[in-house]
Amino acid sequence: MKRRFLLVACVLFLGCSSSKKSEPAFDHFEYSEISVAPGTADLQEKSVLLAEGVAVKAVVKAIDERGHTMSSLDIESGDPNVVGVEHGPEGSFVFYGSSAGSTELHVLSNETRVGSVSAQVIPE
Amino acid sequence: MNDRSRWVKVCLAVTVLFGTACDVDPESGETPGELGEGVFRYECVDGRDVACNGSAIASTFPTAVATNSSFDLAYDPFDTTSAGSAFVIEPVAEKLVSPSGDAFRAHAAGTTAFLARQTADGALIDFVHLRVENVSSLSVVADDGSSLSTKLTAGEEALLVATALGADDAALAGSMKYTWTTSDDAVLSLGLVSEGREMEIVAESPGSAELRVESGGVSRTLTFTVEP
Repeated sequence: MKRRFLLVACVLFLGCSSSKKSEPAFDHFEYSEISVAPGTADLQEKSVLLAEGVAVKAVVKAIDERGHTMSSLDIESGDPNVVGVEHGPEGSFVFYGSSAGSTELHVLSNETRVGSVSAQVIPE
Repeated sequence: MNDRSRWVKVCLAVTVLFGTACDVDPESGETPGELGEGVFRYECVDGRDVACNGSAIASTFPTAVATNSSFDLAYDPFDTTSAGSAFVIEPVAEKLVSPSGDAFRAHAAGTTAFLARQTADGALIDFVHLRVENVSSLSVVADDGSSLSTKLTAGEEALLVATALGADDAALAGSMKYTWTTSDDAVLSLGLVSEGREMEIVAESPGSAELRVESGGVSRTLTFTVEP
Protein backbone atom coordinates (compact mmCIF):
# COMPACT_ATOMS: atom_id res chain seq x y z
CA MET A 1 0.00 0.00 0.00
CA LYS A 2 2.79 2.36 0.96
CA ARG A 3 4.74 1.49 -2.19
CA ARG A 4 1.66 2.09 -4.33
CA PHE A 5 1.11 5.51 -2.71
CA LEU A 6 4.72 6.49 -3.36
CA LEU A 7 4.47 5.33 -6.97
CA VAL A 8 1.31 7.41 -7.55
CA ALA A 9 2.88 10.44 -5.89
CA CYS A 10 5.98 10.07 -8.03
CA VAL A 11 3.96 9.76 -11.24
CA LEU A 12 1.90 12.78 -10.30
CA PHE A 13 5.02 14.80 -9.50
CA LEU A 14 6.76 13.89 -12.73
CA GLY A 15 3.57 14.48 -14.66
CA CYS A 16 3.22 17.94 -13.23
CA SER A 17 6.87 18.71 -13.83
CA SER A 18 6.82 17.58 -17.43
CA SER A 19 3.59 19.43 -18.17
CA LYS A 20 5.06 22.72 -16.90
CA LYS A 21 6.28 24.58 -19.98
CA SER A 22 9.40 26.72 -19.61
CA GLU A 23 9.03 30.33 -20.88
CA PRO A 24 11.00 30.96 -24.07
CA ALA A 25 13.99 33.21 -23.52
CA PHE A 26 14.33 36.78 -24.76
CA ASP A 27 16.11 36.98 -28.08
CA HIS A 28 16.10 40.54 -29.45
CA PHE A 29 14.36 43.92 -29.66
CA GLU A 30 12.33 45.25 -32.56
CA TYR A 31 11.83 49.03 -32.86
CA SER A 32 9.32 51.21 -34.64
CA GLU A 33 8.33 54.88 -34.64
CA ILE A 34 11.88 55.94 -33.81
CA SER A 35 12.21 59.69 -33.30
CA VAL A 36 14.82 61.72 -35.14
CA ALA A 37 17.83 62.39 -32.92
CA PRO A 38 20.36 65.17 -33.50
CA GLY A 39 23.28 62.80 -32.96
CA THR A 40 24.19 59.14 -32.69
CA ALA A 41 21.20 57.01 -31.66
CA ASP A 42 21.70 53.51 -33.01
CA LEU A 43 19.03 51.12 -31.75
CA GLN A 44 20.01 47.58 -32.73
CA GLU A 45 18.36 44.23 -32.01
CA LYS A 46 20.79 43.38 -29.23
CA SER A 47 22.53 46.66 -28.49
CA VAL A 48 21.91 50.37 -28.03
CA LEU A 49 24.46 53.04 -28.91
CA LEU A 50 23.85 56.69 -28.00
CA ALA A 51 25.85 59.89 -28.05
CA GLU A 52 26.15 61.67 -24.74
CA GLY A 53 23.20 64.02 -24.29
CA VAL A 54 21.03 62.47 -27.01
CA ALA A 55 17.52 61.20 -26.31
CA VAL A 56 15.46 59.06 -28.66
CA LYS A 57 11.95 57.68 -28.48
CA ALA A 58 10.93 54.34 -29.95
CA VAL A 59 8.16 51.82 -29.66
CA VAL A 60 9.95 48.65 -28.57
CA LYS A 61 8.96 44.98 -28.81
CA ALA A 62 10.87 42.21 -27.09
CA ILE A 63 10.95 39.10 -29.26
CA ASP A 64 11.52 35.68 -27.73
CA GLU A 65 13.57 32.83 -29.20
CA ARG A 66 10.46 31.46 -30.90
CA GLY A 67 9.82 34.76 -32.65
CA HIS A 68 6.89 35.76 -30.50
CA THR A 69 6.36 39.17 -28.88
CA MET A 70 6.90 39.02 -25.14
CA SER A 71 4.16 40.53 -23.02
CA SER A 72 4.28 43.35 -20.46
CA LEU A 73 7.67 44.64 -21.49
CA ASP A 74 9.75 46.80 -19.22
CA ILE A 75 13.35 47.88 -19.64
CA GLU A 76 15.70 48.90 -16.83
CA SER A 77 19.12 50.46 -17.10
CA GLY A 78 21.99 48.70 -15.37
CA ASP A 79 23.52 52.12 -14.73
CA PRO A 80 21.21 55.16 -15.01
CA ASN A 81 24.26 57.42 -14.78
CA VAL A 82 25.27 56.10 -18.22
CA VAL A 83 21.98 55.35 -19.98
CA GLY A 84 18.49 56.31 -18.96
CA VAL A 85 15.44 54.44 -20.20
CA GLU A 86 11.90 55.40 -19.27
CA HIS A 87 8.38 54.85 -20.46
CA GLY A 88 7.17 57.35 -23.05
CA PRO A 89 3.67 57.92 -24.39
CA GLU A 90 1.60 55.23 -26.09
CA GLY A 91 3.75 52.24 -25.21
CA SER A 92 7.03 53.82 -26.27
CA PHE A 93 10.32 54.03 -24.43
CA VAL A 94 12.75 56.96 -24.27
CA PHE A 95 16.47 56.13 -24.20
CA TYR A 96 19.01 58.83 -23.35
CA GLY A 97 22.76 59.00 -22.93
CA SER A 98 23.70 60.68 -19.66
CA SER A 99 27.46 60.17 -19.69
CA ALA A 100 30.02 58.19 -21.65
CA GLY A 101 30.37 54.56 -20.65
CA SER A 102 28.90 51.09 -21.03
CA THR A 103 26.21 49.14 -19.24
CA GLU A 104 23.37 46.73 -19.89
CA LEU A 105 19.67 47.23 -20.39
CA HIS A 106 17.73 44.58 -18.51
CA VAL A 107 14.66 43.22 -20.27
CA LEU A 108 11.67 42.36 -18.09
CA SER A 109 8.55 40.53 -19.16
CA ASN A 110 5.71 40.28 -16.66
CA GLU A 111 8.06 41.76 -14.06
CA THR A 112 10.57 38.95 -14.54
CA ARG A 113 14.03 39.58 -15.91
CA VAL A 114 14.29 37.61 -19.14
CA GLY A 115 17.48 38.94 -20.69
CA SER A 116 19.59 41.96 -21.42
CA VAL A 117 21.18 43.92 -24.25
CA SER A 118 24.37 45.94 -24.20
CA ALA A 119 24.24 49.74 -24.08
CA GLN A 120 27.02 52.19 -24.79
CA VAL A 121 27.21 55.98 -24.60
CA ILE A 122 29.94 57.66 -26.59
CA PRO A 123 31.28 61.15 -25.92
CA GLU A 124 29.67 63.99 -27.84
CA MET B 1 -5.58 64.15 -28.05
CA ASN B 2 -6.70 67.78 -28.41
CA ASP B 3 -6.48 69.79 -31.63
CA ARG B 4 -3.25 71.56 -30.70
CA SER B 5 -1.53 68.28 -29.81
CA ARG B 6 -2.69 66.75 -33.09
CA TRP B 7 -1.43 69.78 -35.01
CA VAL B 8 2.00 69.58 -33.34
CA LYS B 9 2.31 65.89 -34.20
CA VAL B 10 1.53 66.68 -37.83
CA CYS B 11 4.03 69.51 -37.58
CA LEU B 12 6.69 67.16 -36.19
CA ALA B 13 6.01 64.69 -39.00
CA VAL B 14 6.46 67.47 -41.56
CA THR B 15 9.72 68.44 -39.88
CA VAL B 16 10.97 64.85 -40.03
CA LEU B 17 9.87 64.27 -43.61
CA PHE B 18 10.90 67.55 -45.16
CA GLY B 19 13.53 68.84 -42.76
CA THR B 20 11.81 72.18 -42.37
CA ALA B 21 11.46 73.98 -39.09
CA CYS B 22 7.91 73.98 -37.77
CA ASP B 23 7.64 75.91 -34.52
CA VAL B 24 4.42 75.99 -32.55
CA ASP B 25 4.51 79.73 -32.08
CA PRO B 26 7.60 81.35 -33.57
CA GLU B 27 6.74 84.65 -31.90
CA SER B 28 6.85 83.30 -28.35
CA GLY B 29 10.12 81.38 -28.18
CA GLU B 30 8.32 78.05 -28.17
CA THR B 31 9.22 74.80 -29.82
CA PRO B 32 7.28 71.52 -29.75
CA GLY B 33 8.50 68.78 -27.44
CA GLU B 34 9.77 65.77 -29.34
CA LEU B 35 7.14 63.52 -27.78
CA GLY B 36 4.44 65.89 -28.99
CA GLU B 37 2.89 66.37 -25.57
CA GLY B 38 3.48 70.12 -25.23
CA VAL B 39 5.85 73.00 -25.93
CA PHE B 40 9.16 74.09 -24.45
CA ARG B 41 9.67 77.82 -23.98
CA TYR B 42 13.06 79.53 -23.84
CA GLU B 43 13.40 82.20 -21.15
CA CYS B 44 16.19 84.68 -20.52
CA VAL B 45 17.65 85.16 -17.06
CA ASP B 46 18.54 88.83 -17.70
CA GLY B 47 18.82 91.47 -20.38
CA ARG B 48 22.20 90.28 -21.65
CA ASP B 49 20.69 87.41 -23.64
CA VAL B 50 20.44 88.20 -27.35
CA ALA B 51 17.52 85.77 -27.67
CA CYS B 52 15.13 87.98 -25.74
CA ASN B 53 15.98 91.47 -26.91
CA GLY B 54 15.41 92.94 -23.46
CA SER B 55 12.29 90.89 -22.77
CA ALA B 56 12.03 87.89 -20.44
CA ILE B 57 10.87 85.45 -23.11
CA ALA B 58 12.70 84.77 -26.35
CA SER B 59 11.23 85.90 -29.63
CA THR B 60 12.16 82.52 -31.13
CA PHE B 61 13.43 79.27 -29.63
CA PRO B 62 17.21 79.48 -30.20
CA THR B 63 19.11 76.93 -32.24
CA ALA B 64 22.13 77.16 -29.94
CA VAL B 65 23.33 78.69 -26.69
CA ALA B 66 26.86 79.78 -25.88
CA THR B 67 29.16 77.91 -23.54
CA ASN B 68 29.49 79.63 -20.15
CA SER B 69 26.09 81.24 -20.58
CA SER B 70 22.92 81.00 -18.50
CA PHE B 71 19.34 80.52 -19.63
CA ASP B 72 16.08 78.93 -18.55
CA LEU B 73 13.43 76.65 -20.05
CA ALA B 74 9.76 76.20 -19.23
CA TYR B 75 7.27 73.58 -20.37
CA ASP B 76 3.56 73.83 -21.14
CA PRO B 77 1.63 70.61 -21.84
CA PHE B 78 -1.26 70.57 -24.27
CA ASP B 79 -3.40 68.53 -21.91
CA THR B 80 -2.99 69.43 -18.25
CA THR B 81 -5.60 66.89 -17.16
CA SER B 82 -3.36 63.97 -18.11
CA ALA B 83 0.09 65.52 -17.93
CA GLY B 84 -0.42 67.72 -14.88
CA SER B 85 0.56 71.35 -14.66
CA ALA B 86 3.80 71.42 -12.65
CA PHE B 87 7.03 70.29 -14.26
CA VAL B 88 10.69 70.08 -13.54
CA ILE B 89 13.10 70.26 -16.46
CA GLU B 90 16.44 68.50 -16.26
CA PRO B 91 19.33 68.26 -18.73
CA VAL B 92 20.37 64.74 -19.76
CA ALA B 93 24.11 65.41 -19.94
CA GLU B 94 25.19 67.52 -16.96
CA LYS B 95 28.69 67.65 -18.40
CA LEU B 96 27.25 69.98 -21.04
CA VAL B 97 24.52 71.81 -19.12
CA SER B 98 23.71 71.72 -15.41
CA PRO B 99 21.07 73.30 -13.23
CA SER B 100 22.28 76.54 -11.66
CA GLY B 101 19.91 78.10 -9.17
CA ASP B 102 16.59 78.51 -10.92
CA ALA B 103 18.18 78.37 -14.37
CA PHE B 104 20.72 76.38 -16.41
CA ARG B 105 24.40 76.92 -17.04
CA ALA B 106 26.06 75.70 -20.27
CA HIS B 107 29.54 74.31 -19.65
CA ALA B 108 30.75 72.61 -22.82
CA ALA B 109 29.95 72.39 -26.51
CA GLY B 110 27.62 69.62 -27.64
CA THR B 111 23.95 68.75 -27.81
CA THR B 112 21.87 67.69 -24.85
CA ALA B 113 18.26 66.76 -24.38
CA PHE B 114 16.17 68.36 -21.66
CA LEU B 115 13.55 66.15 -20.02
CA ALA B 116 10.26 67.57 -18.76
CA ARG B 117 9.01 65.56 -15.77
CA GLN B 118 5.89 65.83 -13.71
CA THR B 119 6.80 67.36 -10.39
CA ALA B 120 4.36 65.06 -8.58
CA ASP B 121 5.72 61.66 -9.59
CA GLY B 122 8.75 62.31 -11.79
CA ALA B 123 7.10 60.77 -14.84
CA LEU B 124 8.75 61.71 -18.14
CA ILE B 125 6.35 63.76 -20.24
CA ASP B 126 8.42 65.21 -23.06
CA PHE B 127 11.90 66.23 -24.17
CA VAL B 128 13.71 68.66 -26.44
CA HIS B 129 17.31 68.99 -27.64
CA LEU B 130 19.40 72.15 -27.48
CA ARG B 131 22.89 72.68 -28.89
CA VAL B 132 25.67 74.37 -26.92
CA GLU B 133 28.36 76.08 -28.99
CA ASN B 134 31.64 77.76 -28.23
CA VAL B 135 31.77 81.46 -29.06
CA SER B 136 33.76 81.85 -32.28
CA SER B 137 33.70 85.61 -32.64
CA LEU B 138 32.04 88.80 -31.45
CA SER B 139 30.23 91.24 -33.66
CA VAL B 140 30.06 94.89 -32.64
CA VAL B 141 27.59 97.20 -34.35
CA ALA B 142 25.84 100.49 -33.64
CA ASP B 143 22.72 100.05 -31.50
CA ASP B 144 20.48 100.80 -34.48
CA GLY B 145 22.04 97.84 -36.29
CA SER B 146 24.01 99.97 -38.74
CA SER B 147 27.67 99.33 -39.43
CA LEU B 148 30.05 100.95 -37.06
CA SER B 149 32.03 104.07 -37.84
CA THR B 150 35.40 104.08 -36.11
CA LYS B 151 35.93 107.78 -36.84
CA LEU B 152 34.38 110.08 -34.27
CA THR B 153 34.42 113.78 -33.63
CA ALA B 154 35.47 115.00 -30.19
CA GLY B 155 32.39 115.22 -27.99
CA GLU B 156 30.50 112.64 -30.02
CA GLU B 157 28.85 109.68 -28.30
CA ALA B 158 27.86 106.33 -29.73
CA LEU B 159 25.99 103.33 -28.39
CA LEU B 160 27.43 99.97 -29.40
CA VAL B 161 26.02 96.45 -29.14
CA ALA B 162 28.14 93.30 -29.02
CA THR B 163 26.84 89.85 -29.94
CA ALA B 164 28.46 86.44 -29.44
CA LEU B 165 28.52 84.44 -32.67
CA GLY B 166 28.92 80.73 -33.32
CA ALA B 167 30.95 79.01 -36.01
CA ASP B 168 28.31 79.76 -38.66
CA ASP B 169 28.19 83.44 -37.64
CA ALA B 170 24.73 83.01 -36.12
CA ALA B 171 24.06 84.74 -32.80
CA LEU B 172 24.32 82.46 -29.77
CA ALA B 173 21.66 82.67 -27.08
CA GLY B 174 22.40 82.70 -23.36
CA SER B 175 23.24 85.37 -20.83
CA MET B 176 26.97 86.11 -20.74
CA LYS B 177 29.23 88.69 -19.21
CA TYR B 178 30.75 91.25 -21.60
CA THR B 179 33.87 93.08 -20.46
CA TRP B 180 34.55 96.42 -22.15
CA THR B 181 37.87 98.30 -21.87
CA THR B 182 39.48 101.24 -23.60
CA SER B 183 43.21 101.72 -24.11
CA ASP B 184 43.11 105.49 -23.48
CA ASP B 185 40.35 107.09 -21.40
CA ALA B 186 41.54 110.54 -22.37
CA VAL B 187 40.72 109.81 -26.05
CA LEU B 188 37.84 107.36 -25.81
CA SER B 189 35.97 106.74 -22.58
CA LEU B 190 33.25 104.30 -21.59
CA GLY B 191 29.93 105.97 -20.82
CA LEU B 192 28.39 103.04 -18.93
CA VAL B 193 29.43 100.86 -16.04
CA SER B 194 28.14 97.65 -17.53
CA GLU B 195 28.90 94.02 -18.18
CA GLY B 196 26.14 93.81 -20.73
CA ARG B 197 26.04 93.70 -24.51
CA GLU B 198 25.56 97.43 -24.82
CA MET B 199 28.22 100.06 -24.24
CA GLU B 200 28.20 103.81 -24.72
CA ILE B 201 31.49 105.32 -25.87
CA VAL B 202 32.43 108.99 -25.66
CA ALA B 203 34.99 110.63 -27.93
CA GLU B 204 36.89 112.80 -25.41
CA SER B 205 39.77 114.36 -27.35
CA PRO B 206 41.63 113.92 -30.64
CA GLY B 207 43.80 110.85 -30.93
CA SER B 208 43.56 107.14 -31.38
CA ALA B 209 42.39 104.51 -28.89
CA GLU B 210 41.49 100.84 -28.89
CA LEU B 211 38.15 99.60 -27.63
CA ARG B 212 38.20 95.97 -26.53
CA VAL B 213 35.23 93.76 -25.70
CA GLU B 214 35.63 90.26 -24.32
CA SER B 215 33.02 87.54 -23.81
CA GLY B 216 32.99 83.76 -23.85
CA GLY B 217 36.77 83.59 -24.04
CA VAL B 218 36.82 85.58 -27.28
CA SER B 219 37.74 89.23 -27.73
CA ARG B 220 37.27 91.85 -30.41
CA THR B 221 39.34 95.00 -30.66
CA LEU B 222 38.33 98.10 -32.61
CA THR B 223 40.62 101.07 -33.22
CA PHE B 224 38.83 104.42 -33.01
CA THR B 225 40.15 107.69 -34.32
CA VAL B 226 38.83 110.84 -32.67
CA GLU B 227 39.10 114.00 -34.75
CA PRO B 228 38.87 117.58 -33.48
